[in-house]
Amino acid sequence: MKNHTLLPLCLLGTCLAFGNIASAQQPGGLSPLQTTLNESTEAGKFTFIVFHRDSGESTRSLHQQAQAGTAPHGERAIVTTARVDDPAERSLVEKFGISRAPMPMAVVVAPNGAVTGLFPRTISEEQIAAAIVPPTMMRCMKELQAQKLVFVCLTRTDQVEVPQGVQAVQQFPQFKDRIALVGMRLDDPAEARFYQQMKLDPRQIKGPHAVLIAPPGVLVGQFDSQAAAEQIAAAIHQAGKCCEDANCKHNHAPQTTRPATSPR
Amino acid sequence: MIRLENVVKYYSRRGETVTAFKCEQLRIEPGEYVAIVGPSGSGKTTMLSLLGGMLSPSAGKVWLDDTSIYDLPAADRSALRSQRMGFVFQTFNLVPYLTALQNVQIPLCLLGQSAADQERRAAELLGRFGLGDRLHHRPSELSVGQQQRVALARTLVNDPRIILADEPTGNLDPASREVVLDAFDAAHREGRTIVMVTHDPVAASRASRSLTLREGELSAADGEQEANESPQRLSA
Amino acid sequence: MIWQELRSRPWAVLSNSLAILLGVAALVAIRHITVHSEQEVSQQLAQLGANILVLPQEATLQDYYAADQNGGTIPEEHVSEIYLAGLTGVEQVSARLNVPANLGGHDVTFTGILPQSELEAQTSWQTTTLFTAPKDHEGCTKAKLSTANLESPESLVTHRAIQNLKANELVLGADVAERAAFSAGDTVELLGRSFTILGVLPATGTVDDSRVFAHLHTVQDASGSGPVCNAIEVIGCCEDAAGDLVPKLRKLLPSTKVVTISQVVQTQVGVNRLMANTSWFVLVVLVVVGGVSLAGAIAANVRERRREIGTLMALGATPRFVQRLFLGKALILGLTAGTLGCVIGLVTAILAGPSWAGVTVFVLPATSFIAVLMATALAIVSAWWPARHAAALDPCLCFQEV
Repeated sequence: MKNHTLLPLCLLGTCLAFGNIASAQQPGGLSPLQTTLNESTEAGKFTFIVFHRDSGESTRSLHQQAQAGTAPHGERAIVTTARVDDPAERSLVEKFGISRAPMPMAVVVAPNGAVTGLFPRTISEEQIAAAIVPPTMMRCMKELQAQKLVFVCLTRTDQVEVPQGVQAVQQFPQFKDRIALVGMRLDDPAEARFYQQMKLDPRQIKGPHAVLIAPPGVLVGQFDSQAAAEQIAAAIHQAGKCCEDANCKHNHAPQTTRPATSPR
Repeated sequence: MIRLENVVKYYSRRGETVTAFKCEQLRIEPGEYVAIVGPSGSGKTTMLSLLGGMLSPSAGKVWLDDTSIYDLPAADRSALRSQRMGFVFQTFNLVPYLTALQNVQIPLCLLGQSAADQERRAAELLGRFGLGDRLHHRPSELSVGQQQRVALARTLVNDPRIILADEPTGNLDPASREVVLDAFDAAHREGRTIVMVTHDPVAASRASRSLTLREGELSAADGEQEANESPQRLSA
Repeated sequence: MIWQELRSRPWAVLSNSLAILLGVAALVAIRHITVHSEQEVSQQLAQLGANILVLPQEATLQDYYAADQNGGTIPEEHVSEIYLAGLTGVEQVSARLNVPANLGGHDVTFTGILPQSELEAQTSWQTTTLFTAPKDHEGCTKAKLSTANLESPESLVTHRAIQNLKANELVLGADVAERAAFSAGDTVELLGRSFTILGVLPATGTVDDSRVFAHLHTVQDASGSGPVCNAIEVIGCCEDAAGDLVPKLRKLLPSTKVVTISQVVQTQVGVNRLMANTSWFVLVVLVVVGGVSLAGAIAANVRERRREIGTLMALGATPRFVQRLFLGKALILGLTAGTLGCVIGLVTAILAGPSWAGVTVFVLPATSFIAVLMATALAIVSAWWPARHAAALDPCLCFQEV
């Protein structure tokens, strides 16, 4: 599989067809797509993978949109294609969970392996821009997709100060293997989008400060050096509640539902 | 003693007032056997009802010993009847769905006696009347004569001091009539007061005194004549 | 005396109390079925209130649990589309496909389900939408801090999903296992393939008892149906979220039919309401017709027993005694008719409940007791005036000639 940048449309279908023929595993046991992803990781690039089942109009259209949309982002993004039914790419297809997804689909993979976007059939420039996430957001998404609780520790220096309460919560048995710490520079302009999303005002932050995000991406709360471990643990449990609806089953004591007993 | 004082009973029908019964003075002594004779419609039933505490007079008083019975409440009059009176009806008036034994038990039941006592007393009386083998027969399973004897047993079961009989021999054959009249004689001999309404001269002849009722009036001549001849019979 | 009189005319007894008996029977039957049906609906709403079904357009729906047995199909990729849309409030998505099959000589429904382990990647897609399009997603955003225990086969019953199911594994419904005499660990042949039985489900009283569950893709391959399913069940985290999901799902999947459990039970709710209103109507009919009928019967009885009443009074019966005679008769009639009617109504409800309303009916002691009490009270009230009239009769009736 070759990297495509600005190829004429008329050559696209040929490339796709050749891509099918040439979809053999690269030497070293890695599939072509995995190889591309590895290269992107090394280069710090976002990979826009256009998965498809055929080489029809919709596939060409999505590919063209991806190409056009990533162009303004220069060296930060590349576009590649893969057949979803290619045996060589089976493990990646299963990893992304797209074997039965609507095709064609564009999957955006960050340099650290986090999936930052999935776009069936069409992709817009705004979506492309949104999928190219800041570094901390990328690291958070990776950890969240691994079902970890992420404490984003905010700092203005290279040293990351973790609030005392967070350090203590890390030792709790129920959270021991489930917490990931991610440091973020408040003065890094690249992170502006992330801390705006977290509704943070950097000017207000003094001293150790952490933002807790729980899977799949729920903002649980912010904790400074005064926050006790119990307070943080309580906030985590509270985050497991769905909403204030008294009828919501998650607001009751955890128990399995009874089997239904209606007769046939 | 039974005493009537200026007793009158009127009925109003279609704006007309009918005097059903009228008697200025009548005394029936304890133990007397009195026959009331008269044609149909003469007021015999009205008189019997008045004597039995079942029909309030339009005027006058009916005394049973020292008690003006119509000054008593209805419930007390009922009690009086159950304790001291017995009735014999022309058509027997047996309860059709009860057995002979159960029919005879009725007065004892109304007196509040225990079921065992009721049954024993009733069976004894029915046995005396020769119906010991018919205790559990319903009236429809008995002959006319047997029914009358059941009715007699029912009359006597509560040991009444007064027996009021309405045409007791009216529906009976001569043999059965004799049974009834013999029973009345026996009761009379026991000291019971018997007032019998009848148009049967044979039955009337068994009484010690006869009174005639015509158009609701006890024959004044008969009454006075009787009083003159035997004062103690009319006034107690 | 009362009992003897009743025994002497059994047909009269029956006819006198027939209206009350039938009224009570109808009332008890309707109330029992209604109450149990309402309980069933409540239970379904409580358990499934946040559940939404995505079905083929042409599907008709009578029973939630058999919703996937509608014969039509929808593409399995709708599952991915639901996750990709990043709809808030979606807690679980479960696709099912049914094909007829034969297991051990018994006809069964071979149901393909997608284990949740294969949807973990898709559930993580929510991360992308929450981060890359945060403004689009307000409202219910429950953090996934713990996973319900979907490991055991029984989770198919409790959570309508299972965490892991290999391509060659089966889970049997209770009836299937019993009929075919299979148990966990057995190896069986189905549609020309060999499977290992992972477990047997407990009895649920639903169509699931007659199903054989396997991996959705295995069923698709074995039946040659392709990547389709008969229904997709979307479980919301709560009813509020589910309510918001319905219009969004309809917009997302316009070629499908999106229904909630409320809609499924709507017909039943309507029927329940009708039955509840009917029971009131029956009550009124019972009171009016039954009461009037009995009052007339007692009044006629008083008329035909006038001489007897007169005789009893002559023998010393008080008016109160006479009144109690007829009220006592009414009491026995009411109690007997009420009890018999209650029994008939209960038997009818127990036998007809499953077929008429799809519910199993059990005796409701309070309802039954109240029905009998009502019938008895009605009888006494109906007989009150005729009994008073009897008590006020002229005792001289005993002297009337026949």
